[in-house]
Amino acid sequence: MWRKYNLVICEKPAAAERIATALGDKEILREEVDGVPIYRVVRGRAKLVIVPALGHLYTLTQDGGAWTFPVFNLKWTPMYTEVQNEDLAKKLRNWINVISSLSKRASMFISACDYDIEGSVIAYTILRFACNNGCPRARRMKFSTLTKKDIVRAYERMMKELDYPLINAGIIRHSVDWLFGVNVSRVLMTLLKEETGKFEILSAGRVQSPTLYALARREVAIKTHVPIPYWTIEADILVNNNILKASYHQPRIGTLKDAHAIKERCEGSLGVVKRVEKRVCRRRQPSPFNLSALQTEAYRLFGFSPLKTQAIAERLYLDALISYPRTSSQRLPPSISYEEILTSLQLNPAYQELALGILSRGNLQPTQGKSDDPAHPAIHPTGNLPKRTLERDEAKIYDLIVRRFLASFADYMIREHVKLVIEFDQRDVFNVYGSRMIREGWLRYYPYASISTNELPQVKVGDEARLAKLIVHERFSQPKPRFNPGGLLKFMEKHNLGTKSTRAEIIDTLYRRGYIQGEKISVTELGFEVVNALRRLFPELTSIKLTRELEKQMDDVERGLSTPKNVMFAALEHLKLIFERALTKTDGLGARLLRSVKKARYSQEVLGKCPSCGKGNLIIIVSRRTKKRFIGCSRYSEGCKFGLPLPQRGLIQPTGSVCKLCSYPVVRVKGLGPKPWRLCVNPACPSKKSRGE
Amino acid sequence: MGCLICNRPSRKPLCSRHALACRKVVKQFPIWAKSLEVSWFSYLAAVVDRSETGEWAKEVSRYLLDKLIDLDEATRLAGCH
Repeated sequence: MWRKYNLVICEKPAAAERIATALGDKEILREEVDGVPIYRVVRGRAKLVIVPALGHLYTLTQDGGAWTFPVFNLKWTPMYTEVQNEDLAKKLRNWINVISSLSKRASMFISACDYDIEGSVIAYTILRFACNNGCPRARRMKFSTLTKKDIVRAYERMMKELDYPLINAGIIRHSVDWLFGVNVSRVLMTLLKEETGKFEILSAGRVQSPTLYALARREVAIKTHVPIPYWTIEADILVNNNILKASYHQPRIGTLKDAHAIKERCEGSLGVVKRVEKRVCRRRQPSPFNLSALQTEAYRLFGFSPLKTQAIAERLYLDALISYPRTSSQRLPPSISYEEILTSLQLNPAYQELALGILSRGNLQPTQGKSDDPAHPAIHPTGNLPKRTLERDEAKIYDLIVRRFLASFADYMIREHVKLVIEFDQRDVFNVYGSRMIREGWLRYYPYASISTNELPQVKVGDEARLAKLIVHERFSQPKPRFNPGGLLKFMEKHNLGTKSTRAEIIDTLYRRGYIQGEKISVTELGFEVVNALRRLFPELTSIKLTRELEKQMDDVERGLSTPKNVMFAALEHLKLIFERALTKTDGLGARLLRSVKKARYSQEVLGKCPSCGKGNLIIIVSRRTKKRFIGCSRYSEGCKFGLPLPQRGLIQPTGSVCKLCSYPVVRVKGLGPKPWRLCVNPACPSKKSRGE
Repeated sequence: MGCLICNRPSRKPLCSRHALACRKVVKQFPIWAKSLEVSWFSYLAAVVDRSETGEWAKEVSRYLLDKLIDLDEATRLAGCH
């Protein structure tokens, strides 16, 4: 069709469509070649062919040689050679072929992938391997939203060459992670194979290992916790005919004797208000979201896993509703044009009044957080109106982002905190705390913050106080709380474990491998054994220090302060030390790992107690004859023939809970609809009859 | 040789998990004795009953209680002389 054109490479099909729509002067020609959508547009005098990737089309793999360790020879290879699924492999092969064939007539290449490490590596590998090393003829578009304005600006001001600092940082990160992940995982699997003859997939990596170790340490602290008793004293105190809830000034009283002594002294004696302390507090607006903060908040408010929040945010970004979500920044630079966004948000009835309120203030100065990211601003709405009805969960995340953005322009919240100090018997002091809202400020825009008020009646110094009730509470120290996915994400961010893009996936991998379980994360027996093996073989790998050190070096590459070679040498040095030690300390670890793997697999299959014999466990069994799955009793060979049918499609997971109506186990069925659903395994359960099933 | 409580492989009477839990059980006893003026065995019974007590600490306390192991012996078992 065209003899020469510029080939624009995008990260995903949805992004390609948006970029084509934004850059096309007039009509956009869309065609599909072997399932790959291609857009042809004319912009000024330039002819542009826009083609998407499908995320990474190339991956790292071992460059020849046997399945062994240590392995240091790695190379980039097309993803289709590595995936198991044949349909996907075919699709990926076609994709590369189409891009490769389009590249032959390209006079220039433009990388329009997301501006971050992954996006830069995606474009670089495609240009290098599918486009006959088109890197020297390539330029880079840098944008933070997929709005027409941003895309056009990025096109007009595109960089003269590829973003090599980001590419180098990405390549070195992939390489280091591959070297650590592959080698360490192979050591574990080899150990198991050599000692027991069995093969099981086990994994450990540079970020996964210290994260799992941190979880295991928390688990040990919880499981060995011995509570310590202490006492608290609370009282209802009558002042000016008002009952006030008070607490003893010492929050913990160490012995029961002391607690009773205080009670005896106070009962019957008259108290007096000694002090009324008032303090006006200004609470700053919350900073705009970066990815971690958004994930943490979405987990706190809606229970969304970090990975789910990330996926939703990426969908909203591809719909050009929000800016690029994989950012560390909590800052909103003026270049995003606050006024334009707020004016556009006014057109959305849900935010009309709020946006107007901010605009009418005149001086638009958002609050800025501490974290910064040179590549992208904090997550913010683009102002575009949703062109489709957002799904319920998408709407929740979108609302959270918009309101947080609006709140960042609002006033401080002002509250008055009051503390009454009441003294009995000239030595026993009780405190009464209260607060009242003076100015709502940003809370009006962001009601998700949990702020409670408790206004106190008017009381002055010298007022008489009488004890209406005094209760001594016996309490016990609590173990440290378990991490939830949101808290774990925060922990990883604090210790610089992984990147904003990889953290959620690492947590997900820990779940998938069966190393951790539950919403309140607990480490499984398998998780403990893996940690145990890692501690014995590679103690450095479980330390936060090593990962943090490597992360810093990789960040330096991104900033252009170090070279990939330096980081690779440092990583290889660490690996060498690790393996030298590993080869001498393997006694019995393989057998222990296998026991834990088996136990973990079994616990994933056990649904609950058998209601028929009461002794065996109900487990998922696949019939050798029909290949169909069903539920049977583990004591089948001892005579219990109890069985129940199961759906033949989807992933079935035990929930550990039983049906409230019939006490049969409840399972979670995944993959048969947009969301997992809970199913009582009893076909005759009254709950099903009531729904007409 | 296996751990006296869970039978996990161990060179000492208690595996590393239960030894750690045992050390904590022994270590907290003086605090309980001062706060509630309880004897060693009443302390163990109370620790077993508390929901806050960790699983391994509970197993250790139950074992010490069942076998009527006194504080000195428990201290030796925990390896914290």
